[in-house]
Amino acid sequence: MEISLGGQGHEASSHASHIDEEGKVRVGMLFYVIVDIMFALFLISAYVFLRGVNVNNLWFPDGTKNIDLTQTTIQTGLMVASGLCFVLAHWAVRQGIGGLVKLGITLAALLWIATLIYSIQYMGHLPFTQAGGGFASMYVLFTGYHIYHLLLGLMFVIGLTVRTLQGRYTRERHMGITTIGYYWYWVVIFGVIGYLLPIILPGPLH
Amino acid sequence: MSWTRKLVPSYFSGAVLAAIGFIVGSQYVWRVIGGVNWDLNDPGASGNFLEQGFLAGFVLMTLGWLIGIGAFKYPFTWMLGLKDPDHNEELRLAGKDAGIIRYFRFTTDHKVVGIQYLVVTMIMLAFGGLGAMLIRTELMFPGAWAFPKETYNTIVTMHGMLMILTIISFFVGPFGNFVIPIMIGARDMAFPRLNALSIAFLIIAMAVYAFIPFMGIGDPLTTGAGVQTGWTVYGTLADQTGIGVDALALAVILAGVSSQMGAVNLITTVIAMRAPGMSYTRMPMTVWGSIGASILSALGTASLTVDLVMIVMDRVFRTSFFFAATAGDFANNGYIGGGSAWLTQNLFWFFGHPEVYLLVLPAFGFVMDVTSVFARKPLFGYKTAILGLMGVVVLSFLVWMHHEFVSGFLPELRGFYMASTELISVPTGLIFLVLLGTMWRGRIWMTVTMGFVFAFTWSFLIGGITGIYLSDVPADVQLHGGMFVTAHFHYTIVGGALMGFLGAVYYWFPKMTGRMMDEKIGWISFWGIQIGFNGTFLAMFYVGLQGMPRRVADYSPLFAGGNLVASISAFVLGASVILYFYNVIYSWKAGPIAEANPWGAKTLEWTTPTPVPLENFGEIPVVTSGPYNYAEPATPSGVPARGVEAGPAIG
Repeated sequence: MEISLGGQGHEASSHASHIDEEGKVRVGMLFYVIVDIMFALFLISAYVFLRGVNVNNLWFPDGTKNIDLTQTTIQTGLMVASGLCFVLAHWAVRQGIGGLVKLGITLAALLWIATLIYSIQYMGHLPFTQAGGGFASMYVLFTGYHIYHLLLGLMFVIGLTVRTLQGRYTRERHMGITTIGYYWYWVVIFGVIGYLLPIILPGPLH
Repeated sequence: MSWTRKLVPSYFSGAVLAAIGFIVGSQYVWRVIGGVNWDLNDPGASGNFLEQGFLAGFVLMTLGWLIGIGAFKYPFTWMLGLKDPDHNEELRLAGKDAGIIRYFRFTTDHKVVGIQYLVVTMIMLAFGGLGAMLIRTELMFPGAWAFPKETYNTIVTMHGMLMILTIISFFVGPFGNFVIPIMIGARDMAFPRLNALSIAFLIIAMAVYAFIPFMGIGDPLTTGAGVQTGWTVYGTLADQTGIGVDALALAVILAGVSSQMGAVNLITTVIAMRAPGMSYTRMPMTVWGSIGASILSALGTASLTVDLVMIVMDRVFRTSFFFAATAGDFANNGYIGGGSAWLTQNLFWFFGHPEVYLLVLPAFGFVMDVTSVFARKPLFGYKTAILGLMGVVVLSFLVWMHHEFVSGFLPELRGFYMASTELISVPTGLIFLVLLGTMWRGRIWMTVTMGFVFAFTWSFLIGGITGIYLSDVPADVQLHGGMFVTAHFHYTIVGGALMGFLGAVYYWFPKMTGRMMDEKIGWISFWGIQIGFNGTFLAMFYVGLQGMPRRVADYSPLFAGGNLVASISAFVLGASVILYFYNVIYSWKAGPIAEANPWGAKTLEWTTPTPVPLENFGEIPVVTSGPYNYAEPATPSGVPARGVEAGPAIG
């Protein structure tokens, strides 16, 4: 391999000028979300599979109560509202409207936390236990997986809110909002998937 | 005293906090251990609580480890909006002026992480190899003469899973981390902290794994400790077996997370941090092979994680992902069924098949690279080789049900999987053609590494062709679950991935340690490995064709001769691998000092001085041609990049 030196000049720091630092973090976060999407795809496949094979007719055993659509709608509504506030904040930072960015992120964060609390409460009051057959097991796994991401994402949410309120994000430099946005949007989308799946492919088979 | 400051945070403080975490997490276990009631039919039984205690212990052990090594320091600094670390802080975290302690702590320098991976994976290989020697001891004679059968089952399971976990990280861990950033002209990986985290996760995964043989001693439900399900850990059996399976599940989940982190890191590094002029078609093949493996790891590992999480949920929370029939009622540890055996098989093998290509793809890339170096010829068909590697990546997701031909799934589907499995030999064949074309009419310099390349060619050819036999449904119906399968995958994994790894250690040893490995010991260990390896697994093909099943401690005297030959050869193999390890250790301490480019290779890592400086390059080089242009005048050996001094002493 032939190389030529001297084109770049001596660099004292490790930040070489040819590297797109922001692009690097975007690619990394995108890949992380792709990995997470794969996990969700396998969960969805397991749901479809177990429902399809309906072993011993125990996917949705007789006498099992179905989930309460009102509650799941509220839960998903909170999540989507959080996502919409984030979209607003993201738009605002690209326009350079600092106040709206702070408002949007703070609201999005509060709604995220509200979703988390509501989800935990909702999980504790399901009309069935996780030991209640195939649907029950998958539903608990889905909801639990979502709650797990809401919990782990708290670190992102708190950090982003603190840093936004500190005024760190400008029109020119707002990589944190963009990249955490990928994670944020994915958690919202997965919440919506978890909401729609039992509607499109419901527990009760007849 | 400065040495106390150096110990905190470090792996030592991590270990202390991990131990504390385990004790705190499992103290429920300690409280009840005096009067453990194992009877799961008894409503007052503590069986489930023992599991929950261990699981809580392991989770807190992992958290304690991560806190103790200081992995949360930067995330919390970031979260609280505190000042970002400046360049000096980053250099300090990379181990500048830290001396040898930087190998025993959370260090972001990719070269340090690479050495850490090398040591950890070699220790894992040693333990996996120990398991292999125990297996061959048992199988030396018919009859379960050496171990109780349940213990043998645990040894088989642990050997299998440990070797798989080892080989997943074998290549991309040490060499993906140490060499690839330098190879593409970068100063470090894209996410150095994530890199340090991935090795930390692997270490704690192995700590959890080490618990397995001791879990379940005295459990009357399973007459033997550990895990007896085989490495595939099918949920249907895993749900009902001893508590060792919880440790296995958690260890594998942690190791999978480590692998996925490394995969994301590597792919991002290659996409975003190549030197100017280093286009995708000027990257060495090692990088392409490692990218292929990383794609497979990133996309496929989730399937295994889902499977293992479901097993743990079934066991601890009585969900029924894999329990088909109802049992008891919830108040008495009961559950309602609805689970499927096919679910566990499909989830496992959807990961399991890409996984085996993950094991071997870096070796594919490496042997192509290194053949060009030692044949002093350009690579024969660079783009063909990429087509081959990426073809394997894509097709590997379409073949998984060939592991389930006898599971009773819809017979009409079997043809598709037979065809796709046979089809995957085409891109693999392209790689072989590139390899052979590179060797053809080259003036080959027979180093130990080149020996391993030839060993790879021979072994993977046999492994691959026997895979074609197994892809054929009628043949597989006969051979499934037999020793023929075991011999096939050992030929591909050991003969492919391990030979590549051993060759790579010999090849990059001068750059990583500053010394050359001893050539005489190298050749002796090489030939011992070849004789031992081929003796073991050719004999195994033979007994497999005769009909010997796998995973059995006791077999019919019909198979005695073949097994005796296999066992003796296996001991030769084991001794030779020990000799290879001895060579590594001895040469690290006392081998001849290496020059910067002992092989006269043309890839970028050989343009740096040895030891490699902390930030790799004084100035990032601008690449003006490909990595295999041996038609050009010889690159002068050992000319360092301008503006660079030699790095800190290694070790």
